[in-house]
Amino acid sequence: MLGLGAERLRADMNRLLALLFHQGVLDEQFLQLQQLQDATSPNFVSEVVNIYFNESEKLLRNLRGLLLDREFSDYKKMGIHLNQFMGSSSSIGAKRVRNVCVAFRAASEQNNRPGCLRGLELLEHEYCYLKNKLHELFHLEQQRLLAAGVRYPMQN
Amino acid sequence: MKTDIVITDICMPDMDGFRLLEIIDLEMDIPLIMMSAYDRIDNIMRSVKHGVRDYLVKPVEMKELKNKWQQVIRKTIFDLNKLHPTSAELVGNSLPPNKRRDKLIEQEDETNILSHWESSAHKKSRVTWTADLHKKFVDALQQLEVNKVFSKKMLEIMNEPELSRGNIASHLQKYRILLNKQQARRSQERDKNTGTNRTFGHLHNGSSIALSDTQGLPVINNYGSDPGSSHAASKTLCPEQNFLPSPMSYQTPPTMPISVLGNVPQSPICLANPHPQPESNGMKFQEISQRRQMANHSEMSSHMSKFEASQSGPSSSPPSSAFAEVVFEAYCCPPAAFNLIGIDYQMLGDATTEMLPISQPADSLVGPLQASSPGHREEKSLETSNGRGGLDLCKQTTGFSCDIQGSTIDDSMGNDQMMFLPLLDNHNSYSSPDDDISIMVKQIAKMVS
Repeated sequence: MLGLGAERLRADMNRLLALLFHQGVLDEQFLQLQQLQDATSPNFVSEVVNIYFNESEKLLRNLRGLLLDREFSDYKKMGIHLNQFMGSSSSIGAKRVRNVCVAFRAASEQNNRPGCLRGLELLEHEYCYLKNKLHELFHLEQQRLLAAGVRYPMQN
Repeated sequence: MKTDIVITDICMPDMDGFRLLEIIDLEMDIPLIMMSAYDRIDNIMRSVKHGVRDYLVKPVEMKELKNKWQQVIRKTIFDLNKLHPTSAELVGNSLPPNKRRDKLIEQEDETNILSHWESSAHKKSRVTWTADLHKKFVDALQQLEVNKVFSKKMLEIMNEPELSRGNIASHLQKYRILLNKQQARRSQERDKNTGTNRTFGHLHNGSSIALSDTQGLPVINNYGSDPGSSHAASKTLCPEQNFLPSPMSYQTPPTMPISVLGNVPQSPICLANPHPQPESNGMKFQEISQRRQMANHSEMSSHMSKFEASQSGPSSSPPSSAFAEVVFEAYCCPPAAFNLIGIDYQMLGDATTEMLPISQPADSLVGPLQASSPGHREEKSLETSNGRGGLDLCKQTTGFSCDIQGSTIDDSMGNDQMMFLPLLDNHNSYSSPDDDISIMVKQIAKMVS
């Protein structure tokens, strides 16, 4: 009975992942991340992703702060933030977030304020979506583990 | 254990990646790989020109990283080839035929690339390091605080319009290689002799002028074995030793606190290169240094009474022996040396309390790098040092960390050093005539004599 529950949850997880891949929210880099999770680092993915969330939120706040300032002119600083965001997003496989960053960065290089504002909006939207989905994924994972018993599964 | 290669990010909260590059690659001679989200050619080119061994664009894939060991091998062969052409061949020969061929080709390419860099970067005729210029160089070296020997500063101090930072950096590097060899040679000689402390005593008494002035500098300390007993009583050995220390002090990561010893009376600690084989380019240093270090502990402790070390990490050994470790380990460019780079590396102070690989900011996730290091440990450091600068120290030393701050070096060293240079020639039987520095040293020798 427990086993069935675990299996179903695993199926749910896979379905969610497949969806995210299909939507382009995640890419292969996320798979690589998963591959790094093993017995010695059983919570690797969730930890990394949590760090990503924290950093991203910081970056987003900074970006928002910069852009909403009426006398804003430091596009270079914005570019640096964006670059960081891009790097971290691509490293965990957040493809859509990364793509928005690219577009956003392009706008900032042209000192295009409205373009940047739009970019920020999009970025926040994509990021929220990603965060929700990943939370959902981790939640499923947790449940699956509980359902499968204490024995810790190694494969995803 | 020694670091063979470093992978780092460019944008980091506490330090810029290029500055880190300067410190690691140019000062410590460890290959550095940079990674970033920037994928523009000009950015990459800039990094390459600065001297990065390789540039990874994020996201970094596992298979990319898995191949990075090549960088280390390549460098080894390249260095070997410079110093000892035959041994490079030997190393090359140990590999299967295809790989060997590829590696030799790589090596050639690297040489070509390097020379191309130099010529294009400098845009002028190759800088000749005349005796005068070298003297200036050495003077500048001494003026700088130990932990701040950077080519940029050297450039400022030397104030030579024709010199570029790159010139100085490469000269510095060559200088250190030369000193390496000399040390290697000396330790080779020393290993041949059994422990008479003649030379040590000789040094200790300060019977050579140089010694008393070198109190600010580490000198070869011959504990067990004697370096070239035949030279023990002669003036020649001492000068050679004294010649070495002052530049040798810079051979280690710039934060080597030679100046700290300025307070310590006559028994200067030495930076011994324990490894006798000249072709060891540093990869083997560590094991032997550790042994030495054990042997030297007790003696060092008594000398280092005035040694000050701030705590930037757990060092169960007393500061003196910590210094001893620093001396040896730093010389072999271990990660521990990072802790010496005191003030700038505040982040290291936190992150390396357990000498764990330092985590990276979300900007450059550790994820892919996990492939090469123990996942578990990396993970821990991920939690602890969130948002810090990114470094991947592939190997670690023991839990040593010592943050040393030194005062400036005594300027008078410059003169003393010059005095003994001519005598260096007697001992310099290295067979690397193409080394600028040896030639120049000989020039100086002739000049002074």
